[in-house]
Amino acid sequence: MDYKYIEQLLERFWNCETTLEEEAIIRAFFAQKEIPAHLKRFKSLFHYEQTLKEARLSDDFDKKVLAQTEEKETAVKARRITFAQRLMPLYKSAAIIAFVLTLGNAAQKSVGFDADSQASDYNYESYQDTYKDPEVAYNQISSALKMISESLNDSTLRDSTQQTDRSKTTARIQP
Amino acid sequence: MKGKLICLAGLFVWTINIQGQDFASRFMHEISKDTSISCETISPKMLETLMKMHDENKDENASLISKLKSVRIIHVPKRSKAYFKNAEALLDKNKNRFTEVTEARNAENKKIFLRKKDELILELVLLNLDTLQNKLTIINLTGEMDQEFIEDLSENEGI
Repeated sequence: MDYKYIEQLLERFWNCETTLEEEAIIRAFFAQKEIPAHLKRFKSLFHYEQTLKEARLSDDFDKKVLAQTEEKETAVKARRITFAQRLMPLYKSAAIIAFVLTLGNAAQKSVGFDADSQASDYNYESYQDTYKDPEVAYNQISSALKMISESLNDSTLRDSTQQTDRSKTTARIQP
Repeated sequence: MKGKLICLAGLFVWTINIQGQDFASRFMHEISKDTSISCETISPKMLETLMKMHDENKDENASLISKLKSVRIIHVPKRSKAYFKNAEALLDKNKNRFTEVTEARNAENKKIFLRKKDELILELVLLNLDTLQNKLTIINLTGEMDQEFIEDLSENEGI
């Protein structure tokens, strides 16, 4: 059988030159059961177009969709979010930062990266001088040291070696 | 569980902060409601200034001051006996940090506590109760003091 006419129509189809009637002829040809081997590869294309054309919504489509939306509406419940709950992400972030800083600080002190760790044990940054005049401060320190000195000499230090000789004024701290 | 973790983190931060305070700071924090109690502070910066002004070799005080990082003096004009006991209790609460090193010959009104690390004295606290004037003075030194510092202090009564 001569399929040259179909082949010409196909050529015109690829070049977008076919009329509607010619396309109908091509679809009718590929709707047949027996198709030549060299044209079988085009069958699925024209057959797909045909089945797509025949696709329709079922009669109960609307009912199915409405049924699904109704179920979803009943499942959703309103939830009150308190102010504390709104800030919860902030609290979590602050806690994580504090935890990391603490671990870092502890690691620094334990490994001994800070060479002057004994002196920096106190938060000296927060100390604010009561006296602006150094001489006044010096006098206050002198008074304080004198008081400590008097206390040391009024008391005995806890040292078993010193208790036998209370006449000693030189103090010695028990290691 | 998350709440507990957050509380634990907060506790860690609070603990670290507490560790960075001297005795005077803790005491003032405890009695913060009583505004009649004053705390004088001499910071490390001021002490550095003093060291520049006074020669360590010529001035007996300067050699002592050179070992200090801070000086705090608390004056308690009222209810001195009660606050003396408060201070004692606070020091007792921190037994692992402070140890008492004095035994009074005549009275229990003068006590010295030290915070030591190896051979260094990091902190010295003096509780001095004047029963005649009903006044309490707390002196809090921090720094890197040593045995020589204590010996010099006890020898230099005429400071």
